[in-house]
Amino acid sequence: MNSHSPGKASLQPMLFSFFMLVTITVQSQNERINYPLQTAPLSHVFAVICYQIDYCPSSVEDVKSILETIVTLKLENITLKAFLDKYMPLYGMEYSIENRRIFLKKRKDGPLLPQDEMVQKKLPKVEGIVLNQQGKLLAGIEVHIKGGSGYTRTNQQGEFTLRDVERDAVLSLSGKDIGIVEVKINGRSQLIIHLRTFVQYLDDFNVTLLINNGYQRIHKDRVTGSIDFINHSLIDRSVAPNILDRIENISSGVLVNHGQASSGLLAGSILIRGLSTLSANANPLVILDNFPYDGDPNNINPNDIENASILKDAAATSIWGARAGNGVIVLTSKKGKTPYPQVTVNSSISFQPRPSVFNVHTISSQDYIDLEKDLYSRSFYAPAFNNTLNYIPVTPVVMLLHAADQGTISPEEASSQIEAMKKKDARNDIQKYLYRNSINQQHSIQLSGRLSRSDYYFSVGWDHNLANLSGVQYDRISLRAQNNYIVGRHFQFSAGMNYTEGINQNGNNPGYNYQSIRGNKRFYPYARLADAQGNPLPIYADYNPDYLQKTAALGFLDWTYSPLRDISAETNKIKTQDYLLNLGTQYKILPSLRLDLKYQFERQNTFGSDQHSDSSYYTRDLINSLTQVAPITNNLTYPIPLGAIADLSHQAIISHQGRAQLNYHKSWDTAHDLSVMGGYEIRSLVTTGNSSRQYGLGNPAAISPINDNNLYPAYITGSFNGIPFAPPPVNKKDDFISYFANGSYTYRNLYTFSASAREDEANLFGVKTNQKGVPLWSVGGAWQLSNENFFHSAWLPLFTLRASYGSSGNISRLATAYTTAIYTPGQVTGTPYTSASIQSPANDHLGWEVVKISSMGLDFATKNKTLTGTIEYYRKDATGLVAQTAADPTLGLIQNPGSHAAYYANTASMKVKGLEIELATRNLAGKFAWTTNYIFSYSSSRVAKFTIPVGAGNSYLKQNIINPVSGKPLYAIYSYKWMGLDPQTGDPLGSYNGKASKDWNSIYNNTTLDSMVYNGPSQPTVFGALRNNFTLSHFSLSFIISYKFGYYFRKPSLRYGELFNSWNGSGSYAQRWQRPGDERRTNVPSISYAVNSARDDFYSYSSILVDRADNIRLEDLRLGYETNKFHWGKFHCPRLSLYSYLSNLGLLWKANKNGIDPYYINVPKDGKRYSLGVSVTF
Amino acid sequence: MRTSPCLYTFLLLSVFSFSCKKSSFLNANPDQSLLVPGTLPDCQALLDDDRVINGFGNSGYPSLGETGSDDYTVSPEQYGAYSAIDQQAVIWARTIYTSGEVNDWDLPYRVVYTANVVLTALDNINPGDNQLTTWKNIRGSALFYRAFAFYQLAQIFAPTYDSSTAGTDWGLPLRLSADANEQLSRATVQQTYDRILQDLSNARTLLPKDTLGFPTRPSRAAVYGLLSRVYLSARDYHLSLLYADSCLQLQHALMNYDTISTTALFPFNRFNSEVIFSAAYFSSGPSATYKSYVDSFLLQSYQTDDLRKKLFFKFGNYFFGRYDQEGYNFSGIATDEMWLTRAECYARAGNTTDAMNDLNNLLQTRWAAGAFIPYTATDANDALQQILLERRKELLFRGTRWTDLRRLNKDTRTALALTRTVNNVAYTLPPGDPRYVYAIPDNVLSFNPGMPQNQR
Repeated sequence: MNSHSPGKASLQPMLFSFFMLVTITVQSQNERINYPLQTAPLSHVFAVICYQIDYCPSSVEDVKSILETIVTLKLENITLKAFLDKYMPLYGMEYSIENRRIFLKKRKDGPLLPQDEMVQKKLPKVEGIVLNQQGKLLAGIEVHIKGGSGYTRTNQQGEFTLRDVERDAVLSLSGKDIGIVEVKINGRSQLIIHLRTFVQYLDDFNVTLLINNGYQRIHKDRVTGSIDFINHSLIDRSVAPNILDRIENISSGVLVNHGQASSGLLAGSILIRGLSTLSANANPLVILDNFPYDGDPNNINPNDIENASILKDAAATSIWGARAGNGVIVLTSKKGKTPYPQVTVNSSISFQPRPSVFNVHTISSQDYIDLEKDLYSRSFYAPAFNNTLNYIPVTPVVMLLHAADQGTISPEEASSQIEAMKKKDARNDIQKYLYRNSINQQHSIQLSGRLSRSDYYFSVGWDHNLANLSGVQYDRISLRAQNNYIVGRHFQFSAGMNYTEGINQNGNNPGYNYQSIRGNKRFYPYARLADAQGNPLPIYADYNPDYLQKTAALGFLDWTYSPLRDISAETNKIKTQDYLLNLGTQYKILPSLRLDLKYQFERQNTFGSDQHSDSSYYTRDLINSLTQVAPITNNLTYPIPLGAIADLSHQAIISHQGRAQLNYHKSWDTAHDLSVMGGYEIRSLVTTGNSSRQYGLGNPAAISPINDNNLYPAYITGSFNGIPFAPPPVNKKDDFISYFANGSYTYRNLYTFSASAREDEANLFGVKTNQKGVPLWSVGGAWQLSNENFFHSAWLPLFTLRASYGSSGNISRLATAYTTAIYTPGQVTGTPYTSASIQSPANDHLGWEVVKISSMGLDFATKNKTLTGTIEYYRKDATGLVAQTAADPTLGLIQNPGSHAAYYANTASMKVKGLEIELATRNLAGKFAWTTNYIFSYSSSRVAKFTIPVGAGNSYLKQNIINPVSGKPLYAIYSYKWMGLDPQTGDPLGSYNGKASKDWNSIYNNTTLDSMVYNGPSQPTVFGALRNNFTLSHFSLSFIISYKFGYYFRKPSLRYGELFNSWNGSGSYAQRWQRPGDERRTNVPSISYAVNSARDDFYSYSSILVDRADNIRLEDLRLGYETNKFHWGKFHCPRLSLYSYLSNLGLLWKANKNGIDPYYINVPKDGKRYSLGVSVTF
Repeated sequence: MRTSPCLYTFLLLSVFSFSCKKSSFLNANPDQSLLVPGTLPDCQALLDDDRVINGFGNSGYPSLGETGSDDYTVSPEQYGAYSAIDQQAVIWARTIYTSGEVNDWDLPYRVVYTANVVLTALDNINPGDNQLTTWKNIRGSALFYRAFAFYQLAQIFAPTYDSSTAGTDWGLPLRLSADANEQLSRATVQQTYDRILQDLSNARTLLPKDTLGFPTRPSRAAVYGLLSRVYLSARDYHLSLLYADSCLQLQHALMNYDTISTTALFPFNRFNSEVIFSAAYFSSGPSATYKSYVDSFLLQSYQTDDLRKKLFFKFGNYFFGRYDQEGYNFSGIATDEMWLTRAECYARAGNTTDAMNDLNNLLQTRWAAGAFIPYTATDANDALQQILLERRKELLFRGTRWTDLRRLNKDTRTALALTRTVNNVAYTLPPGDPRYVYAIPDNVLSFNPGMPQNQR
């Protein structure tokens, strides 16, 4: 208490301080006591009282031991008498006051720790009061005896009474904002229970918060591993319909990639502690309650989720074994808690204006038309006007130029039409017609409660999202029922059911990203999608309109494409139904031994339906492209029947998971606490899929199904094509059998040791490996230094050191122990034989990927929780990663001539290391409260070993190909050294053999990787967020600022080849080098009329176009009003919460100077999202 | 009483654990589209992959032999467009590999591997009576393909068979299993040839006299043809004669070139009536169309009425006479080769009459109708010299010249010193030069430390 300065309130507001220590003190008033919430000996309380109001305790020998009792309490403005009357009996004392001296002595009839506890088996009566951290008495808290039948609720004074309680019983307390807290009675008949409501705190060290890892609930302070806990108020903070989107910027070590960083084969949308696999799935394992969730996480209604635990290190994840190498997200769903039926209604609506297409940096219409005129004069378009090839499409400007040349239109008319086109910007039409304002609605109703021997939870949710892209919408209905029953003294039974139906619907809307079927034309800069009246206009990007008059005359179907009309001509639906059924029983064999049996069935059906109506461009184009014209008669025959085309697909994922588990938990001599669990698990996952295609729908003359493998010459191009059919069926099976055990021992709340082991076996690799199996294990330790006598510090009441080491794993299906082959269609020599080729060789040495994780952490909290935090350092050592492995060519494993002989084997390794810091500061407490949460993550992952020799430099340039290089991150950006522009010609200069060079062919093809510039990783290495919360009475305001540093991106570039041939290109054309001297102001190469792809490639992948992607952004802002008692006329409810939520608020800072938001590189930029929501509980 | 719950638990767990058969559960095929070759159709399909097995598509048997031989000349422009390996091989450089993979090694070993996979799978198939023939056909085919690949490899990477040194000369690594972890070392040339002959001898008993369909699949005639080739390369002319004869007993038809259209750019059909076994060597360097000129001395040796002159050569001296139409360089076995082999072996045995009969029997189909005057020989040696020249003229770019050079060099009477001028620099390859054996690819040695390299 030395730091207290009585008589003076000290308030030190420090703006934007992460480490602010603000000390709140009490005002000494006339005989009123204030005591900040803390854990200290009772004597300390009296010392404070003595100091504050000058009533000092008289030393009395027989209460000395009582005064040494460690208590946790908070006193706020109460009189000395009130304090003594209330608390002294509870501590087994009575008092008298004389001359400002407090005389204490033992109560005769209320011993604190009854000496006769061994005599009486049961306590006839247990009384207690429940307070929160503000010292407020908590009413309506449910108290029940764990595993027993006793149950009550606290009254308005926060008091409760239970009768006939076992001496070693554990009370389970639950209620709003406290989660579930367990308190051991330890023979006491009177209890003061201090709970912390965790509305505003990520962590809570005072209560024994229970963390669910999917197998068991672990006391937070006995956790030796790295687990982040996200409670439901944080989950409810945002309005995203996907639960996984709601944990972004909340937990350290969790990286959600955006922009270029999210592209790539395995980039993963969510990464926990970096990448540690090369070819397996990089996504974390998602657990819903007890079992891995095999369906799409989008199926999970976030409103049904109570909390989430993110398991990050080996001690936390190894219990999940071989699938946990990427981290584990455990979602715990809500259960009935209140002793009366409670109905909660949530409703939110979000609005997001149409995205800005102008974020796509394209050449202006003026520039492009001038360029087209230039190209026209250079006969660039001559092939399109060649007689035999005149179906080749050209833009309207080129058509006008040609028509003027041919004299079919006067030069003046052509010129005036062209001038008019210069004023058009296609992006206006694209934004107006292809995009729209997005509106998302989310509604849910939950009914929950508890009866004497059971609890229940039912919910219904409905989501209705209209996306920004016109024609795209998503609807989701979710139903959930969960019931738990207590049967007899030893038996508990639970049953639950989930049903989700999601429907994704979209038309044929290409958005800004349109590319024609043939030739990859894009919208030219002056394209118009609709006329002045809004009627759709065609775009001729596949065929020349003049030519189409000829096909129309022959009787072909209309062959024009109008983007707007086509949006509704196709209906693509993906319906996902997910059924989940779970059953569980708990049987108490002995007071300390429990058997759990659990079973879960899940079936996810995904029905795809692509209806290409007969008016859709897809259908018309496909039918036309195979239509045969008879010689002389010009009669048409249709290999593909007229009528609509429907693609139907059905994919089913069926999983059965079962688990038998024994739990043993015992505490003795108040010093020892042992918890052991072990069990057996079996899991089977079958994925089947099949697709079909129907032709000629709605055409009675069509013969269906058609069975025609002939090739037909296309009328226009003469190239031969077959009739496309549906892909072959899929049938996959994953079987797993696992054995696991986990134990932890805690001594005097000082030392905790934990160990876990698990063996996983699967059908992945064939018999030999299965027989071996891979044991995965972990050990961990925690030392609660703050509980040591020698450490005891008032300003640092919590200080824990943790360390863990162990292994978890990953699975990859790319390799097999057996030789596998696949049937391949067709023979080169034309023989009618069926052929098969070997897909992967037999490899007896194949095994699991193993990720060894070591982690060290420290948790602390200063006095009054002014500053709490966790600092962790970890290393992940991933070995035996399944990767392409160089092989002796003599083995015959070569796939393609000239390529490296390779096969997939456990030969690569990666190393990841990182640092994570989470801090929470209470900057201001009281009526106006302000807290800040700060999360920081550093994660660096490097490929440690990869056996394929380093290839040519240019194979490391493409964004979506992984090309691992030892010592470099898996996703890295390399570029060619930039030597500026040639001052005479404006040609880009690179470096070849150490000299400035224009030999782009050689530079692009022959530069070795070590001669290239390594710019850095393309995924963030330093990232985190800052969250501030302000509360004033019923109002709260919070916002998140996020940051991502230490990564790079490639800026969009001007490629002349693309610009000329695909009708659109980068706006940096305007900055191109045009005359000597320009090289001082620009880096954009001069125009090269001879299309030179090596020149374009060199420039696109040059170092001048790589920039830092670092950015800081304001993620969201939430303003809320919440009250626990709300009356409005006759309407009243126990809880009302209103909020507005703004997200995607944009950049605060970025490293690049080109105005590029690294989240939206040359794509339409999403607008800010505005949401309003209400939650009412009856 | 206290133990009963425990017992109950134990029983429950046991039932739970063993109620499903663990082995079958964990042996389920993870992906139905992937097959673990285990049935006869699977095995047949693997062997019917003509890309891998017969060298079609972007694939092929070794071409370095053709690149090293003497049937072509090359202009600086053509030479400049060759790959680095071909550029070095054309000038008989001592070091020819620059970096990366060597198709001549990799692709035949892929055939070996596929054959091994099939042979392993067949070991585990117990055919019923009605499937026995199929099983034998597949097994015989796999053995044939493996022998064909080993033979092709041995012509490039192993020294010419010489019975006096074959027991100590280094031959090929004989990969005989499908295990990716197999440790490999080089066998001797004797062991290599023994393995090829053993496989062929087994195949002979398994394969039927009749063809199995298209000649991408082997028949007994193909086995005899290959046996004849193998013995010819080993200069065992007696056995080569016997097997060429056996082969011709089964298949001896020759096309009449007079009936073949001269207007088609590539005049010879795939699977024409002379083809006994269809295979292709890698189209690389001088063996690709337009990438080399036929040696002008050789070109002049065709007489006016020799139809091959019109059918084989177009646009001056480019070669178009492939036995597999366009695109693919035929390196399979055909009857014309067998006629020539038998003729040569007769001549070597001193049987001038039969030798010249065989030669004339072939040549009369190559000449315009009525224009052919049968060749005559003064003695067996004269016959041999005529037959060897006609062999070179007939089997042009058929992947056999390199082997012929290697064996003919062993005899001073037929030994040839090769010379080639590239970019005005003259290069020579004397008879018996160590450069007649190509080096083992560097990356093979890096995977197999201690494997002996061929000294060039």
